[in-house]
Amino acid sequence: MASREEYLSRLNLQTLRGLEFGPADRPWIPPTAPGIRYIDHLSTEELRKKYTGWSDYRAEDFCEIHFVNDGRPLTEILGNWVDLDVVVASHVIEHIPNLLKWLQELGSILKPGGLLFLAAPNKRFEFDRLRRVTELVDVLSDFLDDRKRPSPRSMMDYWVHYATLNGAPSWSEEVEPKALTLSFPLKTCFADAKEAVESPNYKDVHVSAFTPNSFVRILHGLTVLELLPFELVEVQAAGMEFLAMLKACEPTVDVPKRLDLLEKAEKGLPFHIDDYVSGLVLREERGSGEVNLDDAGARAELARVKEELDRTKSSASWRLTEPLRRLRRRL
Amino acid sequence: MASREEYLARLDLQTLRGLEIGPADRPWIPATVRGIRYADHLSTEDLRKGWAADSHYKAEDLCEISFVLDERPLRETLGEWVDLDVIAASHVVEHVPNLLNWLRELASALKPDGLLFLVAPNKRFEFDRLRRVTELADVLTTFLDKRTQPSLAAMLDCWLHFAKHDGNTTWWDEVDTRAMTVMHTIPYVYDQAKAAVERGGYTDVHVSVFTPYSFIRLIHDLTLLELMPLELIDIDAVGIEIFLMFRACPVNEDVPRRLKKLDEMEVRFPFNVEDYYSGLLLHGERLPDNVDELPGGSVRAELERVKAELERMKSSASWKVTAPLRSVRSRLPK
Repeated sequence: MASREEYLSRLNLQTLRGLEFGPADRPWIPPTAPGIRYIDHLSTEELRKKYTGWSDYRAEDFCEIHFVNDGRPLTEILGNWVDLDVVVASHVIEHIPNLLKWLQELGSILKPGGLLFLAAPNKRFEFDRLRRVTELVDVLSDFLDDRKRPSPRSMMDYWVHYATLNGAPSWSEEVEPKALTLSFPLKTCFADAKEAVESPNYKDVHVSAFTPNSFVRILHGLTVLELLPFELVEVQAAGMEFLAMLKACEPTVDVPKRLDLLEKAEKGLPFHIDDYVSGLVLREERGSGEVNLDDAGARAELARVKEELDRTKSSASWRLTEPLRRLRRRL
Repeated sequence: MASREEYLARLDLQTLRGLEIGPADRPWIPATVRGIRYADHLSTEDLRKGWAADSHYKAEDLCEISFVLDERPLRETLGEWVDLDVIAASHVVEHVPNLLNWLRELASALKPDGLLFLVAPNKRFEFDRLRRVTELADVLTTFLDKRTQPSLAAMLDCWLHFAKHDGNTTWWDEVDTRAMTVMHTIPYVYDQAKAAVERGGYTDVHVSVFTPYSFIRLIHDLTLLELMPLELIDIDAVGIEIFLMFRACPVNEDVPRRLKKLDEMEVRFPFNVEDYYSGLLLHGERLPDNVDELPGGSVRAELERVKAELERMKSSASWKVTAPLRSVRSRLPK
């Protein structure tokens, strides 16, 4: 099974020139590597302040941030810190409002053949379980719309389907969707999305939801379009998350070979059709604490038709004619 | 069964004050009605020019357009021509860039209890067959984005899935999706969308995709959100079309009753879970063998089985020969 350690062993920690996104208090590449720089959406001080008191984080252990990602183009923020050997981002990609643009920016700061390490949650094991996965059309729309903040769609999708299992936002085994609890009523989700659109403040959500398989399919579509400056080296499901390693290249070179690599990788990763059905087809009880994947209207109709069937079967007309039918069956 | 004529019969053609959008050469409300005005995205002259070469339309029969629809709010375009008894639009709603905003604008041009007649294609019977139906998140996104042009998502979706069956863009029976042909490659579609962005202006596509069921669901959720100033009072699936009749009402008028009515309407129409996932998955081995595994699939499947059994009983000889018996019994005092 792939691990962060195994990925690290591909690098020369003494000589590398690299960048890590959002290292928090648990960087993938340790600060002892002389050539690693850290980037986040806030400065070290601001991050420590923000995460003080969180049980999941030790604010005092937060890495020293070298670059603050303030929305300017990445190459402008990084200045000379380009031609990198490696870029890593753990649990960052799912928050990015414009996935393709971000990947293209990462491609541009890596040297040819430079490596990108990604870790992302597998949506089947966390609160995104009931969302449909992010598809090529979503990625291309955000790219052509030049989104800089999460789209209303991603906010709605995130909040409407935010689901927990016995109060927990993630789990380590496959779950029955029916065992999950939705958190927010539709009305609140719309009001929040409306407010986020009208406010100057950035709303952080999971913009994208992936399974390892769906992630590879997106890369495939982007490679067909000659928009992806990466070749897939490997991708593995690792419990509740998945790890991916990509190698920087020109988006137009070796397309057939790169597609072949992606197709081979996809074959080894499970495909579930229900990942492609939006939980918005879920009904009624939305946000009231229950998840009901059945169709309430159909259930009512079914009860009605069953009752009529029973009534018909027990009617005098049907019972009287039973000998007739028996006779016919024998003929 | 709903028809354009039946809907017309609800109106007093002599006295109505109404608007029809996109009448082309075959208006729903005839031009002989004194109180009808026609609106379209181009003037009569421009439409004639555009259609001179299109054998599908008779350019000389084109209705006289009174209002040219542009990016201005509808009420501004209409001026005094508001407080209407009726608005009709046939095969327009699926092209509208911002569905919710459009419905709200139409409602605002109607007088209280005024009627809206719509006809939309049922996507199962036309080139949109492989697309995912338009869902609440799509409608709310274009609304919050204040779209006045089709979104890129809509263009990409429309062109990527544009499919033909035996060379046709519409058909009358359910088709096997595996027998369909997708017309455009991904790179071609992407280039077209990019060109549309660079060109600016309006690109005509089917922005929205409906089945009767999905349409009711949308109206349901928009009613729940108190965003819908229209009550659906009739819906029917007729061949490849969906007929809808709405009544203008305040967004917050008796929401529980309106929701209940929509729930009751909904079960009259088939729910196909495959309408809810994107057709690019349908190709080859992607088509699931057993849709029962999908959300909602099992209840609908059982419903079909039970309905079929009941149907068989009722059409059996046993049931038919005993009809007089039941007829007599129904006349006896209880």
